[in-house]
Amino acid sequence: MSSLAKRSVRHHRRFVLALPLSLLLLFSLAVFHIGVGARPIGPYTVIQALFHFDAKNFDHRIIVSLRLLRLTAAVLVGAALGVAGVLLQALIRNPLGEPHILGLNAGAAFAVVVCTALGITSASQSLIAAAGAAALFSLVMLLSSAGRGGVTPLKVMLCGVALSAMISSLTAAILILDEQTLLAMRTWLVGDLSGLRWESIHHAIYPLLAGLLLAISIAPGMNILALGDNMARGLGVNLLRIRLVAMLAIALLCGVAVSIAGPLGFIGLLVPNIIRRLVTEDIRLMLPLSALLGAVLLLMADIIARVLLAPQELATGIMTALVGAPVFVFIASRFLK
Amino acid sequence: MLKHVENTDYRPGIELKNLSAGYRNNTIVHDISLAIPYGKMTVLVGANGSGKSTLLSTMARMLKPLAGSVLLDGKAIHQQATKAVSRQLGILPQSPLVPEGLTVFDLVSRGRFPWQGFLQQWSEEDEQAVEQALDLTGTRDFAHLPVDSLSGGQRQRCWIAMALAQQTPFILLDEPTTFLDLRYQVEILELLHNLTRHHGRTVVVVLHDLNFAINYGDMLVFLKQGQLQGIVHEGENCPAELIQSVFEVDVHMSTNPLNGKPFFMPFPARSGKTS
Repeated sequence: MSSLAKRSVRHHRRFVLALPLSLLLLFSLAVFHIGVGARPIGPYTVIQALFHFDAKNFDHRIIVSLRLLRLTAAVLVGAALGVAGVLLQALIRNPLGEPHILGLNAGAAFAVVVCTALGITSASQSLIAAAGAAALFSLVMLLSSAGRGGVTPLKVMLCGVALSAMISSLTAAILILDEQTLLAMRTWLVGDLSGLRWESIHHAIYPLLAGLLLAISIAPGMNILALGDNMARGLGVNLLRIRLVAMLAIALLCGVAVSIAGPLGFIGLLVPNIIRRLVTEDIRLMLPLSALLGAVLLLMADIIARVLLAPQELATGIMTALVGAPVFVFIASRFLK
Repeated sequence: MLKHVENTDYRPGIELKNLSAGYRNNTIVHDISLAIPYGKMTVLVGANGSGKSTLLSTMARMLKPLAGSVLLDGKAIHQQATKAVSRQLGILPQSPLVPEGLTVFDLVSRGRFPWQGFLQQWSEEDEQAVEQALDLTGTRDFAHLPVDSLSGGQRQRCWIAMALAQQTPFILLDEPTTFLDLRYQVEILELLHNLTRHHGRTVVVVLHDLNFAINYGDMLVFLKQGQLQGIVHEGENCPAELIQSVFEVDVHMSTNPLNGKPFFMPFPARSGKTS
């Protein structure tokens, strides 16, 4: 009996290994990330600044007033995108599911740009972004379920890409007409972690927590949903309710990410695929790992974006797309045979 | 008649009342009333498109009835909370999905979902139910392997193990023997029969093979074009005319020497009648 239980926890053992490993990776990348910038700062100074802050030390002041902000943003956004990716792929049972490709990011960006152009700069920008994400994703699901054969993976992807393109051109139209908004949002629109303010992070915290809690609450049910609709019904999962909660959680998480850093692509694609391949397909275990791994990947992308052409900086979103797009093609070629 | 009166555990668990079912503009099953005998194996038989899967899906609350109702222990199943029903009624649909890399043990464990609260995730009872399900289906030996690495027969047994771990008195299965080799078909049917005889489960199953249905079914429900064509109760004879009208093929009836039940050989529509 015990031997059987032991054999069954193979995945759980990998999880127990992966969790501290990714935490360690996250911490070392964080120290490195803080050090990167116009004035490079060594890891020792970084750790000193974090644990024995000295107000008279110029490096310490840079770290706490500037670099820590960027780090926090990257970690929160990466975590949100990672978790959103896991939920999204489980929801549509498709390893290509990704907030960027399915139109959630474009919808969120559109909502934010419209509000900015109209002069609405409210504290609830992440909720506005979430509403935009939810609206466009609902439209994608609605359109892809029309016609014969219901929702197929290919239809969802095509609808997502088409609607993303459509809404992005509307966003572009607004920006061309409204030069001031364009100036304010030019780099934000490709996904960037520069020019942040603490307020936008403060405002995003509650939607982020809400999204994470919702994700945790439906994790056991999402495991059952993976066995097919009929099976899930037979096991007592309320399909409509779990799908709505999942969509709400995804929209909140994407809204948070977009409101802080703009539409960053491919983190939500890479994270679930990596975890499934290396660790487990159990959603309950995937969630904490995806938050950590999302943060890790975004930190890496942000470091490379700023180091590659130093002293010039690339937008972070360009970096994630450069790595993510080929991976997307690779997974697509395997999945959409 | 006398036989039925003597049989004291013959009480209805699932009951269909004037049930019509199908899809919005397409009624497939028309006005069916019947009671599923408790603790027995009921087999739904009929040609392709006769509505047997639709009927089973409606009993399993995967489809809403267009008219009439399905009663589970006297209460309309479609009006009960889905989680409460899932502790009474386990289902195995035709083509369930397997996430890549999911192990047999983890799959069977997911059958415990209806019994688990959010905070109380895994109990001793869950462990026992899973162990028992693995033993009954003979899947313990490969419990640690990914389901997608197994053969069709093994995989089917895993799904049945999952339904067993759910520990419901009623189990509905939609063509569990399709795509399986003869040996596995027999294995699965023996297993289901065993469940009714020794574990008190009530099994309702859609089967394609007529002779398997007659051999293993305690009660046979014949459907043709969505209509109830006939019911053969336990101990009753299955008349050849019924088979001929349901499947629209001439049959030769002989007797199965092993159990004395009828055995049917189909003939091609005309040319077979040369003898």
